[in-house]
Amino acid sequence: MRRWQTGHHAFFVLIQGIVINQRQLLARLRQGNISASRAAFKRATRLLDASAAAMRLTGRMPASCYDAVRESMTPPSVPAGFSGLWSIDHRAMIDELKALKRQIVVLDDDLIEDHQSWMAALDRAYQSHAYVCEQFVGDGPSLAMRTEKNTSQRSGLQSLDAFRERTLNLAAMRGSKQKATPSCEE
Amino acid sequence: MNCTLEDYDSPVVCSIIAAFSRIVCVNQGAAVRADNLYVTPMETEKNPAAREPLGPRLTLPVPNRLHVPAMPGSTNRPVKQAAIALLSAIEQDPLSLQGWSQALSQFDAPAVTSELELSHKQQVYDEYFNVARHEGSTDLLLAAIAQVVSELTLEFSDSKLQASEISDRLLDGLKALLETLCEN
Repeated sequence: MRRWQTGHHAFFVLIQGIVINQRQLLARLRQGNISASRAAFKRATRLLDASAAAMRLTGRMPASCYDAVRESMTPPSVPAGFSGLWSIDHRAMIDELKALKRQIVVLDDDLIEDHQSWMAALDRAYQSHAYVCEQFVGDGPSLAMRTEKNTSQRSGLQSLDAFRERTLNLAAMRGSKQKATPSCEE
Repeated sequence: MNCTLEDYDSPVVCSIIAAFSRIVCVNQGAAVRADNLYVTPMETEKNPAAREPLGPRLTLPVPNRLHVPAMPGSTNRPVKQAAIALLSAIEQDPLSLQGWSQALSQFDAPAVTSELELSHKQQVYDEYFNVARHEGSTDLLLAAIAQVVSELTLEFSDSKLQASEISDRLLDGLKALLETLCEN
């Protein structure tokens, strides 16, 4: 359980860094400052890769510990539907991505390569969630799906994959829709 | 002074707890906030999972207030200067947890205001992971980095994870975060 918490603490701090960085990137893109925008894209890529590493750290535990972690995330320990989507930090990151979208669709050609590297890192961050989810729920329903009101038949992997696809499309340049690959939800 | 659980509601005990929560302890050279090492009765009612704290609570700013300048008196130096100093201190070996711990031990954690309440779901999520939200800004984030590095040091001290791809990535990301703060 300690590793589960430590990894998430690192993850939350890095997400806040990603939020600040996305705001900087938005400002640099609006200014048309190519070199500063490139630097911001590179920092964003490193922050996302670190957040992926934090997620992988949380999932590194003996199989015997999985049940305790999983039980702690289900009623009566927490309300039904407990999910990473309840995180205020993640919400802020998605809101900043939406603001960034307007600048990304008119991105300068000189920044396309940097944008692609950033997108790949964003994908890796979601894949790392898939890795953790797979450890805990396999292809069963995610915690968020396990509520009495929710009749969805989607597995946790499918739910997170849908969310990943939406986020990647949000970050993509116009006309470059992301193709879904297997993934998972916390 | 012996206290029962019910005594936690008394103003005197609350003031003692508030004073205690401002204590900053040092763990392996890194400053760690000692806020909320215990759980109050009110918290356990809100979230049964909070009955088993696993260590110091992580104090974070609310993300949509990150642009707010550091509160007057909350830190001895502007955040940018502190971030530059930290970067400079770890420059020789940025992927060494020991180097990070030494650098962060020089950083004074800011004082915090009373805890902020979020939406119910956001609060449940934060309590599950032992996180508290306070006013403040990127100066609070610097203190959170210090705590995270301390926790990672403990985590990596007895495992093969030390000097692994995971630890390298994590420290490089934290370095990128400091660079981001220097840009502000």
